[in-house]
Amino acid sequence: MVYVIGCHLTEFNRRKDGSSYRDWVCETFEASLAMSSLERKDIDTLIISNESDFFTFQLNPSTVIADDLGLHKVEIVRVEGGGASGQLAVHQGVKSILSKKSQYVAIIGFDPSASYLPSETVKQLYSNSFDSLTDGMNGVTATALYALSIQLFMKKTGLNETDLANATINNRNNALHNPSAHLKLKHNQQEIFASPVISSPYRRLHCSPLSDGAASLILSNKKPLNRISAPNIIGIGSANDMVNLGARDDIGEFVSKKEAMKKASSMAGIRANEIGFAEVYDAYAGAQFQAIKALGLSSDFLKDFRDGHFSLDGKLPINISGGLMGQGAPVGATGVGQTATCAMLLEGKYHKNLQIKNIPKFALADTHGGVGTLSAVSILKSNI
Amino acid sequence: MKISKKIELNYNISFGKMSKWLTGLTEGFALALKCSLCEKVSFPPQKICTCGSYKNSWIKLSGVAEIVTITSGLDGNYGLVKFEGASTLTVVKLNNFKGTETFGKILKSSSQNPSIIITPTEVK
Ligand SMILES: [Zn+2]
Repeated sequence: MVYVIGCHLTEFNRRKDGSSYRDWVCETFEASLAMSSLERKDIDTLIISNESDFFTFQLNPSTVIADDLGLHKVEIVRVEGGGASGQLAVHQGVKSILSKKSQYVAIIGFDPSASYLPSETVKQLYSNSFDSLTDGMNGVTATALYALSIQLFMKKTGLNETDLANATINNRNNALHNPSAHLKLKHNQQEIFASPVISSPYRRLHCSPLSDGAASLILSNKKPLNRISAPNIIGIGSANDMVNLGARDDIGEFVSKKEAMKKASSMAGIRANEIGFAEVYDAYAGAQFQAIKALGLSSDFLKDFRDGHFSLDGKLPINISGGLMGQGAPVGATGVGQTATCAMLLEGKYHKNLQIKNIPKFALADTHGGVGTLSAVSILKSNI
Repeated sequence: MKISKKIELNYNISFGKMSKWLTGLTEGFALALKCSLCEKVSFPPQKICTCGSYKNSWIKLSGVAEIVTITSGLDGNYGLVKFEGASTLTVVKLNNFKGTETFGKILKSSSQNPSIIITPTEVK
């Protein structure tokens, strides 16, 4: 079994305090270590996730981070899979434990996505995170590619611009109660409809922000004696789809996510409809709907959304952290943070105004890179 | 403390098998790969067909495409289009898009930035 014995997220925002990602990594690791009741020397494996050396100005960051954390003679690996990097790092940690090669694994995700480079440069780099020969050369942005995909999804499902606005309002409303969130904003529909169109139908307010931040987990192969409520990770799964949108079987659907979920639920031995809480990858307002549908979390996602079932007091709360849209997105930290959020919630330790009273049995963390190109999901189980 | 650090990266990129395709774009035509087994035509070219075959040959498309859907805004005009003779759709940049066009013709792109750009047209 794999137990989450430590978990933490730093604040996600645009840092103006002169701090470095190396400070955030230390902050989150020390917090997780304290929660785990382990000592530094107990950690035998360190798994790092960050998306790109372009952002950090540091090649081979995992070894300098190990030094900063005072971890020596440990196994170290860095995981990268675009936006999915953090969740793939979680998977790597789970596999390390299940293979019996590791006992105590520290997973740390981070990225200084907001403050190190001008946003125009980041945008340009991101064009090369799709196929640099095609999308990179014609300069198409992530927003434009997501927009093309959601247009086909909207045509097929009846999802409309009011739904996109309401999803934005909901996620940012949740973020209002999350002290670590980047965009704690109370929006109204008019404001969203008046925000500039970046790539139709996506407007500026439909987009998740680029954030700075870090998140961490400590996994163990043993249930801690002093904390029997530590949750388990019981299922992991990942899968890819073609990078080139035009080559896909279904451009509007996140087929890779469906496949990843199938693998994770099969490993966990549960069905998607048993999930009681989910953090899903809402890089854009519409991506949340594409994710919910692909993950099989609802048999009628649109009706369930419009009926409020995905809100904090609904039957399946989704993105109560605020999601990427509200909480923010320091890329390499995102998947780690989503899993950490699920773990805290399943142990009843989440932020006061966001903690679900009736703690669900199972939670899902869903992450992807590209436009649903590489999906990675993890299923957690409560021990309360 | 903050410092501003600027580095310039002058890549000298080679493209191997894809060179032919990229050269085509700079000359204004659309080269696609046709699978020798199932005859699927991919544009952009896929080295391995979805049927699993790696045997293929280059074919020249007419360069005319039908627009399936477009997105516009501050990030520019882009579309998903179906090139005549291709089995896949293609993400393209739209040059001077007015909003009413439903077709397009591939445009010769810069030799230093071979890209899939179409000039939209009202009729085929
Ligand atoms: Zn074939």
